[in-house]
Amino acid sequence: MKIISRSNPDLCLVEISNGKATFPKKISGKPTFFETIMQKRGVEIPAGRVEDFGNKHFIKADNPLFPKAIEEIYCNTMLDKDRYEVVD
Amino acid sequence: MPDNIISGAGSFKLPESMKATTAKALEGKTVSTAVTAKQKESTASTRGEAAPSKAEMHDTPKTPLPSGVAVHSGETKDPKIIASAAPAASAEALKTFGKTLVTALDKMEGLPMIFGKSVGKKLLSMAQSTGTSEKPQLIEAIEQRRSEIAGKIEEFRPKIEEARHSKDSMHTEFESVLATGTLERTRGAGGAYILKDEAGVPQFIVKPNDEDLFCLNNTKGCSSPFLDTQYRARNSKPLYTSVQTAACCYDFAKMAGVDSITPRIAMMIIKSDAFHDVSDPSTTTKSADGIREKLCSVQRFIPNARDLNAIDAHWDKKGFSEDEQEALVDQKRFEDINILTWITGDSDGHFENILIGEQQDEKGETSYPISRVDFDLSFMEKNLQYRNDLSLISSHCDKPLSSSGREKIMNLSATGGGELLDSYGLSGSKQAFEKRIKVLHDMISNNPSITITAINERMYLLSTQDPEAPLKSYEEEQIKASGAPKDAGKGLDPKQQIERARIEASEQGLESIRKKTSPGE
Repeated sequence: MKIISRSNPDLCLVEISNGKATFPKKISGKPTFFETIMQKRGVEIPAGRVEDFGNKHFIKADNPLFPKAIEEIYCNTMLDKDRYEVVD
Repeated sequence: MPDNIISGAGSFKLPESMKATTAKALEGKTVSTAVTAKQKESTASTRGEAAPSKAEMHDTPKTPLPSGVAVHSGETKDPKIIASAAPAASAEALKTFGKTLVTALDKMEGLPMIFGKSVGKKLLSMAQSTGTSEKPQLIEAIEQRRSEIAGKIEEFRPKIEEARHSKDSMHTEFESVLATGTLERTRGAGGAYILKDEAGVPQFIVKPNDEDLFCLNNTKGCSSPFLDTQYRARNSKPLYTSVQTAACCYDFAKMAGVDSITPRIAMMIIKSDAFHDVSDPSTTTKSADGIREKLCSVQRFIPNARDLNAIDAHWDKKGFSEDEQEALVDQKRFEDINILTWITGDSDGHFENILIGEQQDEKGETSYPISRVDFDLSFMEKNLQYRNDLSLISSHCDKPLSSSGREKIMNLSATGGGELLDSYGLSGSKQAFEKRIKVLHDMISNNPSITITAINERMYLLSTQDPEAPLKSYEEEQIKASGAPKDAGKGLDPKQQIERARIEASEQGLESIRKKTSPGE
């Protein structure tokens, strides 16, 4: 799955494939803002689900559970679905 | 998506081990809809209507149910279930309860995903069990919430009427757009609507109090009949307070002189046929049975605004260097957003709530004003879960708080703020607010050249340690390691406490925040 902008289909925030997350790079070759923030802070896990995420409250991009956190938590509770959509 | 959550069809999809329970529970649920033929005939006869056809007697719920779950409609054969479902209720009432139960459970599909599997079991048990009024417990809980929601409208009606007639009221303009425009539901998890004018141009964002995440009439699969702390978006933020909080935050922004960084918000009572109720079979707008009246926050729409991901891509495409991009963000607006976030102790300052507009002046020069939206999860009743993603992203944070910024904070009175909170029915948040303001005043008085970064660090400390923690003088290592929850490490010596805090901070992902924001790195 991919998270892409509804107004700019060239803007992909992250792609999850075979349980692995890939962040597209900027034209300048640098990490995108989304990648930076996912590396620094990650996805916030609701208290009721921390057990499913190794008892962690934040799952950062380098955690093997990051793709699961994106699919199950970020896409359902955080993603602005007016601006972005999840596509297969 | 794992098996333990929800299928796209909008029905509970529980693990194999729970399937039997689910089937049983759903059987129990249909019992409420399962009116016997005799009952139907009797009801029709009393009303002088024709007896229902055989097809009409089978009230199979339209809501899709999990595969493998056999739902029986029509006559139930289990006398125990009949007895427990509704011993004294009328056939019509049973039918209504049954439909509401099926529909409501469908709207609550997201709860197990967020709060864990046990909430699914709890909901199904409530659907099966009879409460004190002989209705299913889930129906009783829904009725209780509805009564509270209606009460809240009346509680704020006088305040809203007063504001409506004030000189600079936004109400008249809003009402005229509402009369001719369209209220469209947004796609986000909460219950926001966009009010577009006749030409289809977005003018206002409308958020009904009872359609918020985990409130009863949420349309996005996260409806909830609960009020308990464990079924909230934030433990210390009661449900059904988002409207008051949003409007109160705007008043705080005005009081502090930082209202230019967030769109104007007012509390209104709005009638519309677009609004949703948990019993509505469809979640599309205009699917309601009639016009509904709701307590809402109304916020002006920010035109031409991009979120931070989009502006990042836009500026990258334009070939702006990182330094040039930094220069495009106005320091004063950046600082004012931070000030409002500190004052309100916002727990939802994530990057999706930061927007960047694009404007051209008369000389054709483009500016990109940064704004903050959505303070609905501010003013928590405890100083916990502070979040400000702005502290992660910009070198603007490393600058000292300006003298005007210092004045804005120092001029803010805890008493005045407390009165404002009282006026919005948010008295439960006063104590935490007063502590926060005292900490802000003290840290600014003690350190005239304090940076935005340092204040942010200490706001995180207030959110994770005791109220004295933000005011201490910290070595860099201690600040980095300060993400432990309150009470963690009690009884340990200071060195052990720091180590414990460092480990827990790392587990919570907070250490990286401090690494990024600690001065000198």
